[in-house]
Amino acid sequence: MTTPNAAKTRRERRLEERLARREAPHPRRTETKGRISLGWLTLVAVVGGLVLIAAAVVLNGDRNPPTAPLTVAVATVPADLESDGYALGRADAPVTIDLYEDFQCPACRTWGEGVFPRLAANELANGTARLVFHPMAFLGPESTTAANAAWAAGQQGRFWDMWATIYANQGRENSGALGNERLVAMAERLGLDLVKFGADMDSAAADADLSAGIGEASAAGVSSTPTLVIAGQAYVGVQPYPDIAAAIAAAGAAR
Amino acid sequence: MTGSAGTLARLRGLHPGIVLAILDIVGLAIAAYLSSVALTGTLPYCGPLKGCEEVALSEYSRIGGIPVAVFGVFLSLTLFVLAVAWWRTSRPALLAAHYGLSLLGVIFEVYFTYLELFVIGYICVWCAAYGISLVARFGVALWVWLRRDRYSPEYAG
Repeated sequence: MTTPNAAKTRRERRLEERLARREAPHPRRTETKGRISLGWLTLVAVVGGLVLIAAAVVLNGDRNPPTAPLTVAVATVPADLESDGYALGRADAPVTIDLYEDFQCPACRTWGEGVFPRLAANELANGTARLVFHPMAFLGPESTTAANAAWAAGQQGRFWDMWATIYANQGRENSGALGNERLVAMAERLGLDLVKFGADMDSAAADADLSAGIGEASAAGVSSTPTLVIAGQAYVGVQPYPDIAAAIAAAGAAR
Repeated sequence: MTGSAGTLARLRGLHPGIVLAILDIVGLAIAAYLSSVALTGTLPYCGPLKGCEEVALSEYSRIGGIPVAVFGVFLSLTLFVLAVAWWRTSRPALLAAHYGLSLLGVIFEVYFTYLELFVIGYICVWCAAYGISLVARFGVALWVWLRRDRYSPEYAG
């Protein structure tokens, strides 16, 4: 038996319950409200990381792609400086600096642009020291072709100009920047006899010279480039010019 | 015995914010050392291990002319501030930022390790140590994030 009063009460109660449910926050909504989702956070971080990598790739773009116009450089040395193949400076200089390089090594280019001109203008020019180049080729096939091309230019008395030109055109490793055709084009721009250059570059003598250079590096314990050896002491990497000048002075004084 | 057990108990009682801050300081010290040698034109000391010079001299050690280690300094410094701030305030957004930024660093570290192994051909032990510190920071931040109700009263209850 239900009375109208009791039925009304039940209806009222249901209405109240419905209103209460509507006003109460959704349990799942309460759970997530204000929370930071791990999934979204991870996604944002991953995308951010990939954008960062892309930016690094773009910003470190190849400064000398194989299609870039060639740059011809002449070694920045005093005009009257003695040069004999791989050697630069007076033959009777009291100190010999052995320079070990790979033409594809970016730090070698940095050394050539930063330290070499000051060394040439001072210690090599005043006869305190003599620089002797030793080829190394451990960065791939274009290290070998570049070393052979430089040796071939040396057969025409232009090793140091070719050395400077190769570094001026250095690109990404084995990208074609120092491929055969571009090396021949460099020789042409330097005004070399191309028939002789081509024959020398492909000769067994060029390969033998490179092998000898690698052997000399191994015997001297040189494993990275650029390395300068002064009086038996190795200076690895791009060492500041004042340190090299001080080492030459010390080696000269010790004689 | 009692001493070491006590130390262990104290370590276990450490707030994870302090653990993150300590790892951030380790990373900051490594990045600061690598930045200082890169900016002064010298090479990192590698001891009997090989590879630091080659990596430091490679073109990939700089982005847009700025040494990569300098970015590591800024990242570690930011992470350190976030870790300390989270430890003091327990605000989950600070822990979330630490988690996200350390993950971003780990992703870049994976790319840099790929360059070291397959492009440069050498591994720099300093860079590897920094990478390990980043992975540890990411791991701790994730571990704490999954248990954040314990550390953030906003989520408790």
